[in-house]
Amino acid sequence: MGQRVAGGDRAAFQLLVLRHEGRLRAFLSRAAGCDADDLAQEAFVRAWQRAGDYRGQGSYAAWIMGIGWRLFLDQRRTARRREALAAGEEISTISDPRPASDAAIDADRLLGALSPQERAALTLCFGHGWSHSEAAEIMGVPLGTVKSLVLRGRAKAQKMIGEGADA
Amino acid sequence: MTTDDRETDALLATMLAPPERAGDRGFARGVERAIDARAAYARARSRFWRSFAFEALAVGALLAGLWLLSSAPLLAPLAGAAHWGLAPPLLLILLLWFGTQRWRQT
Repeated sequence: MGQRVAGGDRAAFQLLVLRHEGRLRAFLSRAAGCDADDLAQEAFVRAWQRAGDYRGQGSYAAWIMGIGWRLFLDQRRTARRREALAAGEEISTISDPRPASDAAIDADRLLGALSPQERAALTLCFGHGWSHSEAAEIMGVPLGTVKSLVLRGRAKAQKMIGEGADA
Repeated sequence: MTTDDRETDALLATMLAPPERAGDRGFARGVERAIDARAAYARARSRFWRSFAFEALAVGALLAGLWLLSSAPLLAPLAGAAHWGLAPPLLLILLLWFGTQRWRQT
């Protein structure tokens, strides 16, 4: 399918969009928050423009997730620079993820206490079932970094869950 | 891994799992429109630069022609050498006008 897309087959690309958009939007919604749909759309546009770069070594899902994640990091960097210029000071690194639904409020509260990298690592490894090495490839960081992000994120989550149970 | 870790992992897996649903056709159409719009913009941009490059070349050729005429000892008096000084700025204004017209068209 990836090869057909690289050859300019729009119908095949449409099928790939339909197959992967749910996971990508869910991941970006957890990691990025409010601009998840715009980021996901931009990720698919880039994937179409750079279809020739996909060599079929990893899964297409991991490739498109990686594009989405890098777009999020770029957008975050630009936003932080702009806001720092406007306010004359650094802004918080945490952006609250958008609540996906009423049932997801707890997940969002929990994710809101984590850094974007921890959110992404937990979402990829626990929510989406990627292995640590696949998550490292998607996020473009070493395997050890993902492992420590997951451990740190899980420890924070455990603490929050414990505090919630005690309250 | 402790029982606590396993329970936390299971809870995180449930909380962070992507929703199980069919592909969103509206979103896919949005992606198609965005791709078409991006392609149309890229085409317009390349059209603009191509035509502007040709116009700049034409103006450059005119300038070179004027310079050659004014520097030829036989032709310079015939062409009225005193007026050549006005030609380059006028041609540059023409080039600027070409550029703005092309920009407006895109």
